[in-house]
Amino acid sequence: MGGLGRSRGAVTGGFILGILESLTAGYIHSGFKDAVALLIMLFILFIKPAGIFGRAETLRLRKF
Amino acid sequence: MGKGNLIALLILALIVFLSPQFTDDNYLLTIGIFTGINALVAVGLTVLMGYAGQISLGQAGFYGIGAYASAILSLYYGLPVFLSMLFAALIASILAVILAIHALRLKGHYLAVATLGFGEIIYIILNEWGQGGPSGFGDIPKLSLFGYTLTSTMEYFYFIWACILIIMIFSINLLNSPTGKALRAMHGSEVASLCCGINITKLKIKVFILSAVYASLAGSLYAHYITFLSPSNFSLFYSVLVLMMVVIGGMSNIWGGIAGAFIITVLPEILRGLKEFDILVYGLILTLCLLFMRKGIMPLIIEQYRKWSSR
Repeated sequence: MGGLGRSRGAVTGGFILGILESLTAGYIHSGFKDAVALLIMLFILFIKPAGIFGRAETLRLRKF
Repeated sequence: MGKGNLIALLILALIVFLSPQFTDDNYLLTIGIFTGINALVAVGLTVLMGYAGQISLGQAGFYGIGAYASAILSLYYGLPVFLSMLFAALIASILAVILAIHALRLKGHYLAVATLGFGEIIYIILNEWGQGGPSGFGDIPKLSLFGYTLTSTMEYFYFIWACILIIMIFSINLLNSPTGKALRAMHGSEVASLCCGINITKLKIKVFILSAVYASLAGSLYAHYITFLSPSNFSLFYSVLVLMMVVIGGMSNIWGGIAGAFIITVLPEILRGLKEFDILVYGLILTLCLLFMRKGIMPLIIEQYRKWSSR
């Protein structure tokens, strides 16, 4: 989510995800905690597959 | 339709027709029915993975939508079962379009993760909003066609396998048509097939719909056979199981789906006699299959047959 090839990205991604998960659990329903995390992941994958801070080049160079 | 496919269809039809003649044991017939239901999902995934080269770990989501939509429509809105199955397939295909449009840009691992996320979201929604929550609901009407209700296990067995035969004929014809050739070209190289004038966007959406409809049909058949649904059958584990069927059976051939479904469904039942060691042996057999038969069982059989016939 933060972006591959960026260590800062992983930290930021973790922060945002954790806070959003807890907020959903508190305000909406604890059952939907994981659903929100997955929705955010899908959203990021669809909108900007390289991640928030990632660059497209890193994505292209990195082969799994 | 090629000669090999025709022979395979005839053999399958013969097996399906004859096997209930030897046994009227409901236990064995039920295993046969489950093999059929799993085979339907696996064939859809084979077309998607083996022919179009798109991976999906969200088949359990479509399977669950098919089951829940069909069950709720027929139980609470009083629709005939046949119509509610069609509506369930329609709902699944609409969701498949939404998923496919967004997942078009993704490839490989990213596509796998995206479809996995989709499947898991469906599972969570079924758990929270589904009828009866995690403990599920029952009293789903049995399957009925033109006023005749299927009640015995034998009738279900024949009905489900007849559905599969029809769907196999449809799939084989589709894969031999220009659309099927375009799918294989897309698997080989997207850029090259684009240059040949193939509309990749449309094709990807279509093949996603196809696999979703197969999974949804299987789900509705499951719901109306068991007449009880709970979300635990539609978790990520089922998606992985279907993936396993396709890989074990062989991706490169559409018959691999059926072979894989047969093995994965029947194997735990055979190993049941081993008591607590069954999972261990099950895992060992599957690992050995993947280590020594990379391409899967069906391509291996075909290769052996070719060697034998050319001798």
